[in-house]
Amino acid sequence: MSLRGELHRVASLRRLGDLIDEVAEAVELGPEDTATLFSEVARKANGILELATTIAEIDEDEISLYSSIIGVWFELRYEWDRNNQLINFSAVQGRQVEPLVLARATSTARLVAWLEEVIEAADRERLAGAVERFKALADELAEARAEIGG
Amino acid sequence: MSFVPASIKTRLASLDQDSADREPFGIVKVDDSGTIEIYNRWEAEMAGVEQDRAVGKNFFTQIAPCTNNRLVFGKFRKGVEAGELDETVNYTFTYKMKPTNVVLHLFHDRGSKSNWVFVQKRAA
Repeated sequence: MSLRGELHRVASLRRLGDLIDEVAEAVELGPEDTATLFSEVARKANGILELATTIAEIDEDEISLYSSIIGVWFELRYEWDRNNQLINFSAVQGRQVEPLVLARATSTARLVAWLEEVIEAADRERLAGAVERFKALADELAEARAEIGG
Repeated sequence: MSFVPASIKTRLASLDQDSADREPFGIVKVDDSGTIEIYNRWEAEMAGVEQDRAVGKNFFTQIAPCTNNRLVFGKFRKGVEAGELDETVNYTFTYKMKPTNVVLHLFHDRGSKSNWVFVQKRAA
Protein backbone atom coordinates (compact mmCIF):
# COMPACT_ATOMS: atom_id res chain seq x y z
CA MET A 1 0.00 0.00 0.00
CA SER A 2 1.21 3.54 -0.73
CA LEU A 3 2.22 5.80 2.12
CA ARG A 4 -0.77 7.98 1.31
CA GLY A 5 -3.04 4.95 1.57
CA GLU A 6 -1.40 3.89 4.84
CA LEU A 7 -2.03 7.34 6.32
CA HIS A 8 -5.70 7.19 5.35
CA ARG A 9 -5.87 3.81 7.09
CA VAL A 10 -4.15 4.85 10.32
CA ALA A 11 -6.10 8.11 10.68
CA SER A 12 -9.51 6.87 9.58
CA LEU A 13 -12.68 8.47 10.91
CA ARG A 14 -13.68 5.19 12.56
CA ARG A 15 -10.39 4.95 14.43
CA LEU A 16 -10.75 8.58 15.44
CA GLY A 17 -14.24 7.93 16.85
CA ASP A 18 -13.01 4.91 18.80
CA LEU A 19 -10.10 6.91 20.20
CA ILE A 20 -12.33 9.75 21.39
CA ASP A 21 -14.79 7.30 23.00
CA GLU A 22 -11.96 5.50 24.79
CA VAL A 23 -10.23 8.65 26.03
CA ALA A 24 -13.48 10.37 27.05
CA GLU A 25 -14.43 7.34 29.13
CA ALA A 26 -10.96 7.01 30.69
CA VAL A 27 -10.83 10.58 31.95
CA GLU A 28 -14.59 10.99 32.44
CA LEU A 29 -15.00 13.88 30.01
CA GLY A 30 -18.33 15.70 29.87
CA PRO A 31 -20.22 16.06 26.55
CA GLU A 32 -18.92 19.58 25.87
CA ASP A 33 -15.28 18.64 26.48
CA THR A 34 -15.74 15.47 24.42
CA ALA A 35 -16.97 17.56 21.49
CA THR A 36 -14.02 19.92 21.93
CA LEU A 37 -11.59 17.00 22.00
CA PHE A 38 -13.13 15.42 18.92
CA SER A 39 -12.88 18.71 17.06
CA GLU A 40 -9.21 19.17 18.03
CA VAL A 41 -8.15 15.62 17.20
CA ALA A 42 -10.13 15.57 13.95
CA ARG A 43 -8.44 18.81 12.88
CA LYS A 44 -5.01 17.22 13.43
CA ALA A 45 -5.95 14.02 11.63
CA ASN A 46 -7.47 15.95 8.73
CA GLY A 47 -4.33 18.06 8.53
CA ILE A 48 -2.26 14.90 8.12
CA LEU A 49 -4.58 13.51 5.45
CA GLU A 50 -4.72 16.82 3.58
CA LEU A 51 -0.92 16.86 3.56
CA ALA A 52 -0.85 13.30 2.26
CA THR A 53 -3.33 14.01 -0.51
CA THR A 54 -1.71 17.25 -1.64
CA ILE A 55 1.90 16.09 -1.59
CA ALA A 56 1.21 12.63 -3.03
CA GLU A 57 -0.16 14.13 -6.25
CA ILE A 58 3.32 15.23 -7.37
CA ASP A 59 5.53 13.08 -5.14
CA GLU A 60 5.83 9.74 -6.93
CA ASP A 61 8.64 8.37 -4.76
CA GLU A 62 6.94 9.67 -1.58
CA ILE A 63 10.15 11.26 -0.33
CA SER A 64 8.52 14.62 0.40
CA LEU A 65 5.54 12.97 2.07
CA TYR A 66 7.68 10.73 4.33
CA SER A 67 9.83 13.72 5.28
CA SER A 68 6.73 15.77 6.09
CA ILE A 69 5.31 12.97 8.19
CA ILE A 70 8.52 12.94 10.22
CA GLY A 71 7.99 16.66 10.79
CA VAL A 72 4.42 16.09 11.96
CA TRP A 73 5.69 13.35 14.30
CA PHE A 74 7.99 15.88 15.98
CA GLU A 75 5.20 18.45 16.17
CA LEU A 76 2.83 16.03 17.92
CA ARG A 77 5.56 14.50 20.08
CA TYR A 78 6.37 17.94 21.50
CA GLU A 79 2.72 18.85 21.90
CA TRP A 80 2.34 15.72 24.02
CA ASP A 81 5.48 16.67 25.95
CA ARG A 82 4.05 20.11 26.77
CA ASN A 83 0.82 18.61 28.12
CA ASN A 84 2.79 15.97 30.03
CA GLN A 85 4.81 18.69 31.76
CA LEU A 86 1.64 20.57 32.64
CA ILE A 87 0.02 17.45 34.10
CA ASN A 88 2.97 16.31 36.15
CA PHE A 89 4.25 19.62 37.46
CA SER A 90 0.67 20.16 38.63
CA ALA A 91 0.56 16.70 40.21
CA VAL A 92 3.66 17.27 42.34
CA GLN A 93 2.03 20.47 43.62
CA GLY A 94 -1.00 18.43 44.62
CA ARG A 95 -3.18 19.89 41.87
CA GLN A 96 -5.19 17.88 39.40
CA VAL A 97 -5.36 19.31 35.90
CA GLU A 98 -8.61 19.55 33.95
CA PRO A 99 -9.70 16.23 32.39
CA LEU A 100 -9.48 17.87 28.96
CA VAL A 101 -5.73 18.37 29.44
CA LEU A 102 -5.33 14.68 30.29
CA ALA A 103 -7.45 13.80 27.26
CA ARG A 104 -5.34 16.01 25.00
CA ALA A 105 -2.12 14.38 26.20
CA THR A 106 -3.50 10.88 25.75
CA SER A 107 -5.00 11.47 22.32
CA THR A 108 -1.91 13.28 21.04
CA ALA A 109 0.29 10.40 22.20
CA ARG A 110 -2.03 8.05 20.32
CA LEU A 111 -1.67 10.12 17.13
CA VAL A 112 2.10 9.82 17.59
CA ALA A 113 1.68 6.05 17.84
CA TRP A 114 -0.48 6.02 14.70
CA LEU A 115 2.13 7.93 12.74
CA GLU A 116 4.73 5.44 13.95
CA GLU A 117 2.76 2.73 12.16
CA VAL A 118 3.95 4.23 8.86
CA ILE A 119 7.48 5.03 10.03
CA GLU A 120 10.15 2.34 9.64
CA ALA A 121 11.27 0.69 12.91
CA ALA A 122 14.87 1.83 12.49
CA ASP A 123 13.68 5.37 11.80
CA ARG A 124 11.54 5.32 14.96
CA GLU A 125 14.66 4.50 16.96
CA ARG A 126 16.51 7.38 15.32
CA LEU A 127 13.66 9.78 16.06
CA ALA A 128 13.61 8.72 19.72
CA GLY A 129 17.36 9.31 19.82
CA ALA A 130 16.89 12.77 18.30
CA VAL A 131 14.33 13.67 20.97
CA GLU A 132 16.78 12.55 23.67
CA ARG A 133 19.56 14.68 22.20
CA PHE A 134 17.26 17.68 21.91
CA LYS A 135 16.18 17.23 25.53
CA ALA A 136 19.81 16.99 26.63
CA LEU A 137 20.56 20.21 24.75
CA ALA A 138 17.57 21.98 26.32
CA ASP A 139 18.71 20.88 29.80
CA GLU A 140 22.27 21.96 29.07
CA LEU A 141 21.14 25.42 27.97
CA ALA A 142 18.85 25.78 30.99
CA GLU A 143 21.62 24.77 33.41
CA ALA A 144 24.09 27.16 31.77
CA ARG A 145 21.53 29.95 32.06
CA ALA A 146 21.00 29.14 35.74
CA GLU A 147 24.77 29.18 36.37
CA ILE A 148 25.14 32.70 35.05
CA GLY A 149 22.10 33.80 37.01
CA GLY A 150 19.92 34.36 33.95
CA MET B 1 5.48 6.61 53.67
CA SER B 2 6.38 4.26 50.85
CA PHE B 3 4.17 1.48 49.55
CA VAL B 4 7.25 -0.72 49.22
CA PRO B 5 7.29 -3.28 52.04
CA ALA B 6 10.40 -3.51 54.19
CA SER B 7 10.56 -7.19 53.28
CA ILE B 8 11.35 -6.16 49.70
CA LYS B 9 13.80 -3.41 50.58
CA THR B 10 15.86 -5.74 52.73
CA ARG B 11 16.35 -8.31 50.00
CA LEU B 12 17.04 -6.15 46.99
CA ALA B 13 20.54 -7.59 46.64
CA SER B 14 19.04 -10.94 45.72
CA LEU B 15 15.79 -9.84 44.08
CA ASP B 16 15.67 -11.38 40.62
CA GLN B 17 13.20 -11.20 37.73
CA ASP B 18 11.09 -14.14 38.96
CA SER B 19 10.73 -12.76 42.48
CA ALA B 20 9.92 -9.31 41.12
CA ASP B 21 7.25 -10.81 38.86
CA ARG B 22 5.36 -12.08 41.89
CA GLU B 23 4.94 -8.63 43.49
CA PRO B 24 1.68 -6.66 43.17
CA PHE B 25 3.31 -3.40 42.14
CA GLY B 26 5.83 -2.21 39.58
CA ILE B 27 9.49 -3.06 40.10
CA VAL B 28 12.15 -1.79 37.73
CA LYS B 29 15.85 -2.25 38.41
CA VAL B 30 18.09 0.14 36.48
CA ASP B 31 21.79 0.85 36.28
CA ASP B 32 23.23 4.29 37.01
CA SER B 33 22.30 5.58 33.56
CA GLY B 34 18.72 4.29 33.77
CA THR B 35 19.16 1.18 31.62
CA ILE B 36 16.66 -1.49 32.65
CA GLU B 37 17.96 -4.72 34.17
CA ILE B 38 14.71 -6.03 35.67
CA TYR B 39 11.21 -5.05 34.49
CA ASN B 40 8.54 -6.92 36.36
CA ARG B 41 5.26 -8.32 35.09
CA TRP B 42 3.01 -5.82 36.92
CA GLU B 43 4.87 -2.90 35.34
CA ALA B 44 4.79 -4.50 31.90
CA GLU B 45 1.04 -5.06 32.08
CA MET B 46 0.33 -1.59 33.42
CA ALA B 47 2.46 0.13 30.76
CA GLY B 48 1.58 -2.23 27.90
CA VAL B 49 5.26 -2.88 27.24
CA GLU B 50 6.63 -6.40 26.76
CA GLN B 51 9.22 -7.33 29.37
CA ASP B 52 11.71 -8.59 26.78
CA ARG B 53 11.47 -5.34 24.87
CA ALA B 54 12.06 -3.21 27.97
CA VAL B 55 15.19 -4.89 29.33
CA GLY B 56 18.27 -3.16 27.96
CA LYS B 57 16.42 0.06 27.15
CA ASN B 58 16.61 3.26 29.17
CA PHE B 59 13.60 3.50 31.47
CA PHE B 60 13.46 7.29 31.60
CA THR B 61 14.09 8.13 27.97
CA GLN B 62 12.89 5.12 25.99
CA ILE B 63 10.29 3.17 27.95
CA ALA B 64 8.67 5.90 30.06
CA PRO B 65 9.66 9.13 28.26
CA CYS B 66 7.10 11.05 30.30
CA THR B 67 9.57 10.74 33.21
CA ASN B 68 12.41 12.39 31.30
CA ASN B 69 12.35 15.63 33.26
CA ARG B 70 13.68 17.13 36.49
CA LEU B 71 10.79 15.74 38.50
CA VAL B 72 11.85 12.14 37.95
CA PHE B 73 14.96 11.56 35.84
CA GLY B 74 16.56 14.67 37.32
CA LYS B 75 15.98 13.39 40.87
CA PHE B 76 17.24 9.98 39.87
CA ARG B 77 20.48 11.36 38.42
CA LYS B 78 21.12 13.59 41.44
CA GLY B 79 20.46 10.72 43.82
CA VAL B 80 22.68 8.30 41.96
CA GLU B 81 25.45 10.88 41.84
CA ALA B 82 25.14 11.44 45.60
CA GLY B 83 24.79 7.71 46.34
CA GLU B 84 21.61 8.50 48.22
CA LEU B 85 18.16 8.19 46.68
CA ASP B 86 14.87 7.59 48.45
CA GLU B 87 12.23 9.82 46.83
CA THR B 88 8.53 9.39 46.14
CA VAL B 89 6.77 11.37 43.43
CA ASN B 90 3.08 11.53 42.52
CA TYR B 91 2.93 11.11 38.77
CA THR B 92 0.60 10.54 35.83
CA PHE B 93 1.56 8.36 32.89
CA THR B 94 -0.02 9.43 29.60
CA TYR B 95 2.30 8.25 26.86
CA LYS B 96 0.55 5.74 24.59
CA MET B 97 -1.60 4.44 27.44
CA LYS B 98 -4.69 5.43 29.36
CA PRO B 99 -3.93 8.22 31.84
CA THR B 100 -2.77 6.42 34.96
CA ASN B 101 -2.08 8.09 38.28
CA VAL B 102 0.83 6.50 40.08
CA VAL B 103 3.26 6.96 42.92
CA LEU B 104 6.87 6.50 41.85
CA HIS B 105 9.45 5.56 44.46
CA LEU B 106 13.04 6.07 43.34
CA PHE B 107 15.45 4.16 45.54
CA HIS B 108 19.17 3.48 45.72
CA ASP B 109 20.15 0.41 47.72
CA ARG B 110 23.52 1.12 49.26
CA GLY B 111 24.19 -2.50 50.22
CA SER B 112 23.92 -3.84 46.69
CA LYS B 113 24.70 -0.50 45.00
CA SER B 114 21.62 -0.97 42.86
CA ASN B 115 18.90 1.45 41.71
CA TRP B 116 15.18 0.80 41.70
CA VAL B 117 12.00 2.41 40.46
CA PHE B 118 8.90 1.16 42.25
CA VAL B 119 5.47 2.01 40.85
CA GLN B 120 2.05 1.81 42.46
CA LYS B 121 -1.30 3.07 41.20
CA ARG B 122 -2.96 5.81 43.21
CA ALA B 123 -6.40 7.38 43.24
CA ALA B 124 -6.71 10.71 41.38
